[in-house]
Amino acid sequence: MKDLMRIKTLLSAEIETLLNQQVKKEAHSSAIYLSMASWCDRNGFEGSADFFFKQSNEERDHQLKIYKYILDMGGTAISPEVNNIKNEFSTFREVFEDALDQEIAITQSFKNIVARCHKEQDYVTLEFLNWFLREQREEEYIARRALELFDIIGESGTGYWDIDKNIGNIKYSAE
Amino acid sequence: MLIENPITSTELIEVFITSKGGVYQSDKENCLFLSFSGKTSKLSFQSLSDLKKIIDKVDLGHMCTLIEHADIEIILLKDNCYVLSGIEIIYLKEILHGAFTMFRLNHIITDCLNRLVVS
Ligand SMILES: [Fe+2]
Ligand SMILES: [Fe+2]
Repeated sequence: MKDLMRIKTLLSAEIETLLNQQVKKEAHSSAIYLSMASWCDRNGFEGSADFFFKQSNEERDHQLKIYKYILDMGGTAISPEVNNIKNEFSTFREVFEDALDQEIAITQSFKNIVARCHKEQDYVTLEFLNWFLREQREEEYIARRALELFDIIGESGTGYWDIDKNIGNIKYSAE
Repeated sequence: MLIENPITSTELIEVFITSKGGVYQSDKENCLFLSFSGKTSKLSFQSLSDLKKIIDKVDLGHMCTLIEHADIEIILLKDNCYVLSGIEIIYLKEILHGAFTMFRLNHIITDCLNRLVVS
């Protein structure tokens, strides 16, 4: 009996589901960053608004990268619904606290998919996911560093002004 | 087990059957046949897994509350249309779950055999 399942797709049903969930999570991240950009912009933090617009685009790219991988491997990619986006933040700092929480949740989610790939010996998807693991190093570093600026620069006086000016300069170099 | 398909007389392999119907595979045509509630449909692997996803999503609890009106679910899938009652959904669900378990088992066996040949 021919293995029609394998002929159709490289992905197991479980991995396909996990990847589709990740597509949704990246879409959700993209939407959250967009809402953060809006909040920052309307509260006068232009540097941070720019920063979050860029982040939002990156998340959209992540979403498409996974989406196309699912299709290229013969799977069914599902365009996700995105809802429950928080639009209000109580403080400037809270925006960045949420951003770091968001990135940590994404990293954890990738670790979970990678664990599943190991279990199934899906080394092809594992290799695909390596790019994201590396990306998460950078994403977490930047989010953590941004939050650190609140402690280093301080929130009093012109603190917020200086933080906003410096958000865009945070760079991560793995070397 | 090999059976003769009444429609195209291609040799079909039984994937999974219950008293209510079953799924058969044609290696010649790389396709599947779903025999259920008096009709046989020819489906690609993709269509059969799409059907399974749709059936798995049907909210039977919600359907049961509608019994007095119409406990019927209409499923449109490319060229096929299924009009199913709640109990038929349960029967079909069983067939599809069985079939996909057999597909997974077949994949594991094929994989093992391929590895054996290489070594
Ligand atoms: Fe991302
Ligand atoms: Fe990110």
